[in-house]
Amino acid sequence: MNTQANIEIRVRGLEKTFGDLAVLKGVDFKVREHEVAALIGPSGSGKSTLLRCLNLLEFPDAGEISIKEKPVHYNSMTPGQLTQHRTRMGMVFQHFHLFPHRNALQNVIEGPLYVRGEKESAAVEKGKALLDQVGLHDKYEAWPSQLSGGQKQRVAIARALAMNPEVLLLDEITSALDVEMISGINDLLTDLAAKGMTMVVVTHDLAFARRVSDRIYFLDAGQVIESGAPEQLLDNPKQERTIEFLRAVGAQ
Amino acid sequence: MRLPSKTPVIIIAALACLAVLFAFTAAHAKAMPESDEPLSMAMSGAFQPFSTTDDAGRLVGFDADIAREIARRLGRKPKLVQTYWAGIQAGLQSGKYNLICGSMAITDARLKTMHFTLPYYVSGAQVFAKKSVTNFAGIRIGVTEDSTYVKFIKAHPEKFPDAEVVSYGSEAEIVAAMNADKIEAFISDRIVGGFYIAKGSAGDIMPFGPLLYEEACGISARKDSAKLIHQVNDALFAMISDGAYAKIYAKWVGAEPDLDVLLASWGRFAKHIPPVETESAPTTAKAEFAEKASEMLPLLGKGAILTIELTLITAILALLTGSLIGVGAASRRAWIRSAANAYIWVVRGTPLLVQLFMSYFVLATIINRAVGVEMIGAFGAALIALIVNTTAYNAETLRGGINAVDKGQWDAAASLGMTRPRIMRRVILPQAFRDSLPSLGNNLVVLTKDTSLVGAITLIELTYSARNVVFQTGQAFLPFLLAAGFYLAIISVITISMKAWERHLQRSRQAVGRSI
Repeated sequence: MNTQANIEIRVRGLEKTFGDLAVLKGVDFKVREHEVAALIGPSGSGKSTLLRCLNLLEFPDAGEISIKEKPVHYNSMTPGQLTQHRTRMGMVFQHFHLFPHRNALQNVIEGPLYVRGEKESAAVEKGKALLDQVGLHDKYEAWPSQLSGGQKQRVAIARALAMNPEVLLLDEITSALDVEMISGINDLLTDLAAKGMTMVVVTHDLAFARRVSDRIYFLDAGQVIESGAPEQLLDNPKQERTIEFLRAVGAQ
Repeated sequence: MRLPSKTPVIIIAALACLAVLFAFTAAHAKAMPESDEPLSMAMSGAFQPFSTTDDAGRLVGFDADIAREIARRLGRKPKLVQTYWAGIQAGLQSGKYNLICGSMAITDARLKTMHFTLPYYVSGAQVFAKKSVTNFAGIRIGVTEDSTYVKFIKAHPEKFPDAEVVSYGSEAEIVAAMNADKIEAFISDRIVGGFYIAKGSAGDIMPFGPLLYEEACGISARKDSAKLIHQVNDALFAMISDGAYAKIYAKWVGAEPDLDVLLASWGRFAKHIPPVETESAPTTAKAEFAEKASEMLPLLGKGAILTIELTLITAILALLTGSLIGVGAASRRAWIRSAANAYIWVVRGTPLLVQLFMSYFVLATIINRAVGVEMIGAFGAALIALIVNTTAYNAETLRGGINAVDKGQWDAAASLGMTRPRIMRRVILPQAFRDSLPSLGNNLVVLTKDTSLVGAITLIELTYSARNVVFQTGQAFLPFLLAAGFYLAIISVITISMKAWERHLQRSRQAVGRSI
């Protein structure tokens, strides 16, 4: 692990409230370039909301976000700046959210064509290469409805990668998959991490978190309770709530 | 026995219901003991001072008083029926009422399909025009459709050189058309026009040229009601003898009736009084109708073409405007949402017929006056009203479709950096449209049938041409049945096309080789 690597995303004191419900109560978090950060914790702990605040699918109520140490003025952004911010981060969702009216390749090239304004021939070539990379070389023309859950998630990953993001945000992307699909997706992500892709991963799969991440954050009730290297946090947790959680999910 | 599949059972059941329904209505129409039933008499209610309505909506006027007086003298309860002039003969023939007591001029053509009493008043046809009119060149003349005036113009085109004739459903609309600059002159009854001049209700007008011809108005009945004709003649004679007639005449026309002229006309029309003993059915009309059957289709076809034009143009434009308003109604900006919803609320909450009148008599008139030329005619006004109306329904349908699209689609598209308008256009609308297509198709079917209302603003579409055929032939059943067949054909084409389009858009839904 290269501790000298630049910080890609830094978050300080992030707060987010939905109505009466405080979901994030002052979260500090960072991920370095070419590293993987995993967010774990019980349901409702705020992991997904933190992830969605990073690319501003949700706007925080308070707190600082900076990318490569440059602050993000999320309260005074023009639509153009918002687009630019979001294109730096690719996001993959638990339920894929593929565009059902477009085939696999069209899903992948939608962003390059209509957001980045790439030429169609170039976008198609790159889109096919990405689908090859995620193991779907024979599914360019397939509709999402014709694909299995695992295949859909591969298309979604290719769609996110097509924008050449600096960071990949992964929101429980194997939680909705059948067991036999999961390891394939996990291998794909491990491979991406090995190639130096910066990632923030929300997951319930602690074995995967241990395998892929450089640092794990344990969140509970809208706060980061504990963070550290995988071996340290999973094998020698210091906080009582971390120990309880790990015991409850059978990791200890 | 094996039961047939569900569909034929439903069809057979529906046909059986229809047959029973027809049997009931037919039996009801026939079983009418003459003297116990009230004497029902029809008039337009739009022909001041002969028939009009009072503040309570009751039919009043010269015709109404005469009708009530006749019923009283026949010892029967009067039942006055207000009906559109254009359909008044069809209503009589199909047994909706016993008599037409509505200032109907006695003509040879009408005598073929109906019996008439002796004239109950004599008047004449007169052109009335705005005072600025000096000759007929470029002048639009309004007439009530299926009136003796229309036939007179057709028979004597040389008397109206370079004039354009515009047909309206009733005298009331002619007055509205005068006030909205749709026409510069109209033909009406001499007495009626005098009434308008006295009240100033049709603008600054005056009689133009001499009386076109004298007209004698009679009360008409079906060909199977010869006895009733004699009874009414007796009552009329009694009313004239004891002065009741003169009182009613003076009350509404404002002058003494010229009884010499009236009784002189009786001499001319007496030969048309049917003998009491022969209660003949209108067989002649039927025989003529058979000959005219082949002439019907081209006329209906012309109407069908207008119906198709209106439907297609409206369908295409209302899809675009409906999408715009629908997107507005699903907007996250409150003021846009409110404006779009207000539009939908107002348009869906008011009848298309009212919208047609507003478009034709008000909006088009305002625009035409502002521009100084006749920019928006009846066709344009009809299109505006139909588009405005269909837009509201399409917008409401699409609003529902937009809101039904999975919220995750917004997340996914936004995470790619797409802006809201682009997400709407590229991601949300295509899905909303795909899923709304069956309902949009339904709106289109409703629109097709709604175009039948544009007849109210002088456009001779399919239903209107069917009515015209009814006037010509005196037959009510077959023209409307043929028109229904045309509608069914048009709507079948629409339905099949929409289904094909649906299949095309739904192709992404196929789940071939699904492996989960």
